[in-house]
Amino acid sequence: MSTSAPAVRFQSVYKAFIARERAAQPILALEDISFVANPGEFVSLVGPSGCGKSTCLNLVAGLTAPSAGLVEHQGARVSGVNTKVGYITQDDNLLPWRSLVGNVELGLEFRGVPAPERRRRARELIDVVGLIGFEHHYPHELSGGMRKRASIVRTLVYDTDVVLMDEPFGPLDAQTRVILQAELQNLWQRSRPSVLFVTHDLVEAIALSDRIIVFTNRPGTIKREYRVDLPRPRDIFHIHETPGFSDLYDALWADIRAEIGAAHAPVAGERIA
Amino acid sequence: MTADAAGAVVAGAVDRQRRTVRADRAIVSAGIVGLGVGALLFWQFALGLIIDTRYVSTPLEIARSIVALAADGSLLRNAQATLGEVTIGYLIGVGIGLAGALLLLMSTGGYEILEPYLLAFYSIPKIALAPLLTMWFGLGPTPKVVLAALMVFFIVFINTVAGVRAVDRSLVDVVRVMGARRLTTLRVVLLPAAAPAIAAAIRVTFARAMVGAVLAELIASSEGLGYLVMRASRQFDIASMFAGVVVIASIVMVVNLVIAAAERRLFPWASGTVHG
Repeated sequence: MSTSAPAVRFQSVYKAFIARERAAQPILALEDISFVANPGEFVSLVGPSGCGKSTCLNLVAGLTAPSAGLVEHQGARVSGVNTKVGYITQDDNLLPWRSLVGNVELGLEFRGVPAPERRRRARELIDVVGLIGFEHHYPHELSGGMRKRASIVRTLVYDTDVVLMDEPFGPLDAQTRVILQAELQNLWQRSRPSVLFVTHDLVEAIALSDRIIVFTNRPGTIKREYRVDLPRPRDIFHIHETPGFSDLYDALWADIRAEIGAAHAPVAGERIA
Repeated sequence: MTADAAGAVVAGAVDRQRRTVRADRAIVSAGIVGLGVGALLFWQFALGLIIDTRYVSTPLEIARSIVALAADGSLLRNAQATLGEVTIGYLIGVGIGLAGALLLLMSTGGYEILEPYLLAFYSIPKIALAPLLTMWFGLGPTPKVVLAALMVFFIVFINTVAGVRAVDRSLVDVVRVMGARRLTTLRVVLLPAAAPAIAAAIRVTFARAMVGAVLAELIASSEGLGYLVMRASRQFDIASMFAGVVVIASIVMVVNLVIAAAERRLFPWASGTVHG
């Protein structure tokens, strides 16, 4: 084993918040969460809606602080906004008044990278995702898939060692999703950051991840961890034909179904239609 | 062969669609002109049958009055006076409104502390201050400038604050994680996002600045378009009163068109439709 610190470490993390100012009960979103993401590892967080997966990403990004416990990035406690990680949100969050290339250059601009190098690095990644020719288009002139590609390369262009992704392909149609999953795998293999990837899509989680962490219903705790040993690079388009896929999928689905079942279990006396 | 056929179909469809659009537009234009001309004709020839024309004048008399006022130079002189007051007051109001909003937004809790006082200030009908301003600042242009500025300031201020506060939180968060500091966030995200709201406020307040200045002129003045209307009213010269009103409205309309054009130029994303 190497002696280097894990890229991300959660140690007995709790997160409670009050939904409204006068709400009677605080909500416990996360309970005793401990896990690590190793350098270069692609880790997916799956679980029922509202189980605190996205909160985990916000904790690593420093947008919110844990109520108890410790969140570390490269061995250092996260306190305040963490600009050393990349964050790709569910909405593309492109700036509507900036062209595609202007959006992709943003992080480099904030880091004081000189303009010619900014242009070169942005163009290189824009090329990888096939958007050359659209550099000077504004976000409203691009399709949903193009905007999503833009938001991914915008984050990868400044080379952070950890990238957080919150259901990045959620709003896309099924075909575009698979194509973008394959593109993400390629992009990830170029620089191999650690990825924390929140998703509801178990196929997507298996296709992309080295490890999958299953969360329980709120308050989110870790139910189980799965190692995904499918060889890389993976054929995303035929991932379900890969040996070992079905067993893993069935095991994951059984876990998730148990959680969904628990959330929607009929109360005593309630009639089941 | 088939490509040619498809091309012909497309050309035909495009042609038909263009013709439909053009026809629709022609109907709307004809309607606009027709309504205006109809109203003027009614006023000129039929309104006198219902109301004594001494009280309402006629479009032709008003036009004659405008020409006469233009000929003896008083129209230009008074319009210049008013336009000067309006422009200075407007710029002061916009400047203070913008600067104040940005300062408060950069501070912590500043807006919350001042908010009740600002709302109280907003509740004052500024027009009611006109006599007071005249007492303080005399008969010259100063009270007109101050009232115009007051009419503008709050609208620009509140729209800048509201525009910046309405910016999508997650957009701001993403940019902060990307490494933007506070001032950078303001420059790169908050101001551009709020720009359409700010620009709209800046556009609509020109008419309010005009209201402020003219009103102050009506109270007490020796020049300006408001003075022109007031003088005509004392002479019971209905046509000249209307002439002043028409000139005031025309100035506001022209300036609005200019500002709206500048707005479309500066903030193309605000008017652009968002595609899937």
